[in-house]
Amino acid sequence: MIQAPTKTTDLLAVTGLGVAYGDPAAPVRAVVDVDLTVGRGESVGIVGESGSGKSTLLRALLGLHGSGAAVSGGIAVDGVQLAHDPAAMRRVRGGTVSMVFQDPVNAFNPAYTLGSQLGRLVALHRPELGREQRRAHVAAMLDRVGIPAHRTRSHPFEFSQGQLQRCMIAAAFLAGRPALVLADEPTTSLDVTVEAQIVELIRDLRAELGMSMVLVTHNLGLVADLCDRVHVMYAGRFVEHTTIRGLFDSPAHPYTRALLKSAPDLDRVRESRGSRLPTMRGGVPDLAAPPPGCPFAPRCDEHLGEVCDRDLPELLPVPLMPAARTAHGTAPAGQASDTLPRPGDVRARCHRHAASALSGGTAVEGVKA
Amino acid sequence: MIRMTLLRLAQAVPVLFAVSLIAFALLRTAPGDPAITLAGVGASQEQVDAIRHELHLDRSLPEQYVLWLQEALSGDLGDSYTTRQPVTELLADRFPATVQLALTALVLVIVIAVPLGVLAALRRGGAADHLVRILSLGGLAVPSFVLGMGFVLLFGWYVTGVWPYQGFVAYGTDPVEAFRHLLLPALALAFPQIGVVARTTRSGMLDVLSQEYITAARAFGVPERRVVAADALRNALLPVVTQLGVVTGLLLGGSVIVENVFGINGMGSLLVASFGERNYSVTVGVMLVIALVFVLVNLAVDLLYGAIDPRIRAGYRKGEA
Repeated sequence: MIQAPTKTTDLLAVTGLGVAYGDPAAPVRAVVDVDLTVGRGESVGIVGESGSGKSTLLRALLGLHGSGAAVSGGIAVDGVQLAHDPAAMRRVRGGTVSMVFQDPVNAFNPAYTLGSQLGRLVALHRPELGREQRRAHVAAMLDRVGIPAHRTRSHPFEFSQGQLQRCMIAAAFLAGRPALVLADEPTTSLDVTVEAQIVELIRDLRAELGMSMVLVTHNLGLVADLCDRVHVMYAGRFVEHTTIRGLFDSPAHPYTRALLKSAPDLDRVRESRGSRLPTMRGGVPDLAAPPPGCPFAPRCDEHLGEVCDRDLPELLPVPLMPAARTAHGTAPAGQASDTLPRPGDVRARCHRHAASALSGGTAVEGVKA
Repeated sequence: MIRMTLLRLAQAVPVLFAVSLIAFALLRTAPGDPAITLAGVGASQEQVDAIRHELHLDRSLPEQYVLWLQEALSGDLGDSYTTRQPVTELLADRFPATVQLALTALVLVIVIAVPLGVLAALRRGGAADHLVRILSLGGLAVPSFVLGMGFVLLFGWYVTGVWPYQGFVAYGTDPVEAFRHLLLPALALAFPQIGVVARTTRSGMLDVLSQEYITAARAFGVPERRVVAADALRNALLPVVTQLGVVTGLLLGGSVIVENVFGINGMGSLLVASFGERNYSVTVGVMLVIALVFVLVNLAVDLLYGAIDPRIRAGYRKGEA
């Protein structure tokens, strides 16, 4: 049964999403109370270190979280609620919402040729095409991503990783022409030169087809390149929501600042030759037994004391901050990321902001250069 | 692929040579003397010696083997000591029954075990999963001949006239009657293997279902039935095919006893009878045929690997076989 639309403006509307694994009495809460919206044609990034729950969140959006997971909350695509309706979820897969996988080598079936795998997707989502038209469509798809058409008869093991990621992009972007593409670290497994080509390809296809995108990555440069706004995720929760310019110029959450400091930067490396690159101490907390207060408190350099260890902060709007150039540097100019944050654009889950908001402060303490 | 096939067939030659040598040596060193058996009770020593001379049994073991090998290479496996029938003729008579029994059992294993293993993987902890566990334990606990005797007792004593439990009808003569006659012995033969193959299928499917390309197929909207049948099962078949190669050998070996239980005149019953009579030429002939079938089954398994997995096929093409 198709349910009534939730909200017409957003293509994707996620509310209070939770994903938990294991014993219901002591679950591992991989994703907790996530709210996310993506408008038509918009690109939203989700960043965070490994184990923060980014990929779990992305897979849950397509119901690919596995049978051992308990999912709560709402996922609406084009106004249709999918979270607890497996049939509706299956209907949107590939056609309305598609996905780019991190490791293309393992994401294609080794037993079939690329042509047959792409042809099957075209047959599913474009049933009106006959066999010859389908074949031509597959060849055109491959041609569009820079793979010669005669390679349709090759098997996945006969391609390089970069070529396979191009094929993956063809499958995700062109087979079903979805309205929304979920990209799960699409360049992580590639070398730097191939990475640049793939980023360009994704940017071109989005511009050409006007698709929305949710991009999960730990590569902040990729977010600057491809996204309009960004969520920072830590221990299964969003800890900051901001614009790209906000992310690079005035990160609001201590975790975001630590993340930016930890990102390798050629200029900084050149300046600090001989000294070690800054790293974030500790690791993500055990999601089966997270700390009672702020999950980042044990690693936080701006720890406020008892309140951080005791209470979980809310995701609250952050008062507008003066642009503070971070150690990482300002986001590249002339791109979508150039937008300055407006009031309400930036929200963070930090006691420092709650205290600042209560005292009527306008700027955030602790924004360090 | 042709190169790989020829290479595998060439490898069969030393295997068959080794089998013939081992079988020959073991039989000749086993207690008992075919000359005494053939001469009968009350025969004189001269009569026994004459038979021994006629059968070349008075020569040294290496001499006997070389004589046998010379004839075998020209296609003559000798004559049966008891019936004087050529061994090749005897084998040709008995081989079809054994092959039809083993193939029927193999088909039963495949059609029962593979779907059961798939279901067990798809519904872990469900009825099919429990059944696979029970069948695995049951197969280990109940050997073929015990189950066979149970069938004979059931249909020959308690429920008579319902189902044939003795004899053999060839598929070429009457396919329906052939299946009716072969079902019970094939089931007895297949039973211990069903649980094993189902478990292999189950674990293969579980492994493949956790692969990224299965998640990707689902993400791209491929219907679940096709994900299971086309994507998962094909990749899960490699270990199953390996297992089926072993199972085919076990079915041929198991037929030795089962044929006797169900009164089928196949190679199994021929092997048991010839060994009892110390009919060396027949016993070695049967063992050679069984070894040859093993080699051919393994070749078929290798070819199937290539058909299932293109990476293996590419390896064959590159000469990595």
